[in-house]
Amino acid sequence: MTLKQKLKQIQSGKLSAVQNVMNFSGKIATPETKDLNIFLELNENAIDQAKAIDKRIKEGTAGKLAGLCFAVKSNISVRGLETNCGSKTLEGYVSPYNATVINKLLAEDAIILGMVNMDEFACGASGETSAFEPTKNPRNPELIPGGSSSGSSAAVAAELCDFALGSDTGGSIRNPASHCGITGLKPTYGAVSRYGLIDMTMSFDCIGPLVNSPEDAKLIFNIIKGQDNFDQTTKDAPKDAPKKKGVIGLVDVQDFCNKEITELITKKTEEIAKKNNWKIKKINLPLDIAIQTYYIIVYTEFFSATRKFDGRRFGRKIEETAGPEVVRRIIGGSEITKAEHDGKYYREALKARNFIKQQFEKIFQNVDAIILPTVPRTPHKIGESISVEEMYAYDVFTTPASIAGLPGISVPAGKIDNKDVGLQILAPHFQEELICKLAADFK
Amino acid sequence: MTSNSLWHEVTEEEKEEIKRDSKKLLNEFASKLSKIKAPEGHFENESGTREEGDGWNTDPEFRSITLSNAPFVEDNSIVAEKGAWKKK
Repeated sequence: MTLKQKLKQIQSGKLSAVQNVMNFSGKIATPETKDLNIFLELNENAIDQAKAIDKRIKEGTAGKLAGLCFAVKSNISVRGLETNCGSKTLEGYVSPYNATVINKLLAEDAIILGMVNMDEFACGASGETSAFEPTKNPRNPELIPGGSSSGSSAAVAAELCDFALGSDTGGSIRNPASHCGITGLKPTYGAVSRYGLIDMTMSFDCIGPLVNSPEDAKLIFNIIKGQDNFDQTTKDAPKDAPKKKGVIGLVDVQDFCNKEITELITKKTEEIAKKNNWKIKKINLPLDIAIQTYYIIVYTEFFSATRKFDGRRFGRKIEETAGPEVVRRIIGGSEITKAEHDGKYYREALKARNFIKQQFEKIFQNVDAIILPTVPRTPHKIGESISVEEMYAYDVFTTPASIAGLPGISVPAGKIDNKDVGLQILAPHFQEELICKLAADFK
Repeated sequence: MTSNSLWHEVTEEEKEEIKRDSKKLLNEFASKLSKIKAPEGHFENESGTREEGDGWNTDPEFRSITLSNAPFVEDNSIVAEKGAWKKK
């Protein structure tokens, strides 16, 4: 059932907002669901809020999302709920204000079910780095759900909410969407306000929806998007869209990807292109420098962002309480800033970032959108040994769009060895409508 | 370094190991990027300065939640700059 169909049920009185909350709450409370370790805190006021919304529905004054229930990644501030970023550093930290996206959703009468698990400070691509134990993949609890929006993705896949909010820095919405067999939209950088998001890397971070279909992604995106005076990097989408070319760029990924995934994405793209009369153009992205560029910038900005976690105003000192991946990024960022006087790291990464942006601009002169796999391999087992380089390589197909600030969506493309595989669609800045439309064909 | 990615407390010894490994990794990354020839870019905000508007007013609950998040509070203020955290 799509969100629009559910909204019709609620508006027609077939399902009340209270009943919707109770249905999800009942499911969240089962031992099987608790074992997935998705929710970190539940909103105790959800039923009371649903009662008020039911009243407004009867009066005809309810908002556009009246009665829909959503889960929130634990790095997005919700007043009165613990926003701990999956870390003991912020364990017990209660946000005194709402993020802009939360205010926008509440204004449309959506209901918060609770805060969900995530990789610690969004540093991870597997969901394993949470200080509150890893989230399990609802499709196969032995496997990672992907990250860092692990709880958000798992909550949607396990049907514990109507939709969830996540954040995407280098793939943290698209990667878990791929592993959990759902849809995840990373908006254009600046299309959605980051105000109230506890930042990982401020020049890449985006808040976006995790949902069951591209149509649902579009619905939620249209509510949360828009310029916000509390976030200077936001702006409204330009009214003019690029001219349609009828050409899709299919990225050559064979040097970076599992063979079966490459074949599945190629086959699926060719099928849909034939059906819709699109031309396919084989293209190359600078994938060989994506991880290097991304992580140098991430280490540097994350080191800077975490200086506030010194244990004075809130929480505990991050270096004393965080797990290995967070410590690695802080130490790495510290090393970069120490050595930066000769421009060896950050400056080179900024040049490479420019180069990657230019490559996308050239490609988009000839194609409407770009298709590639979301993740180069299927998910590993929770707790499996994996090198840092292998873990970072999970991000090879998602980081280019992050570096260039482009919108991207991941939709289910099929299964390999009974594991979900996602297909990613990228488009020029502010073309979320286009990627949702194209993604709907793949769904 | 190969290990699982599960969260655990980091010992001082492990921190040293992470420091060595991350330096090595960053040098490898930087060496690869040094071959890229591209001009440095900078970002200019087309919209100029923002309209400040009225902002939003805090309320007593905002204040009480903020104070309750702080490790040390004295006389309705957060003690953050007096080395009070050393008392822990």
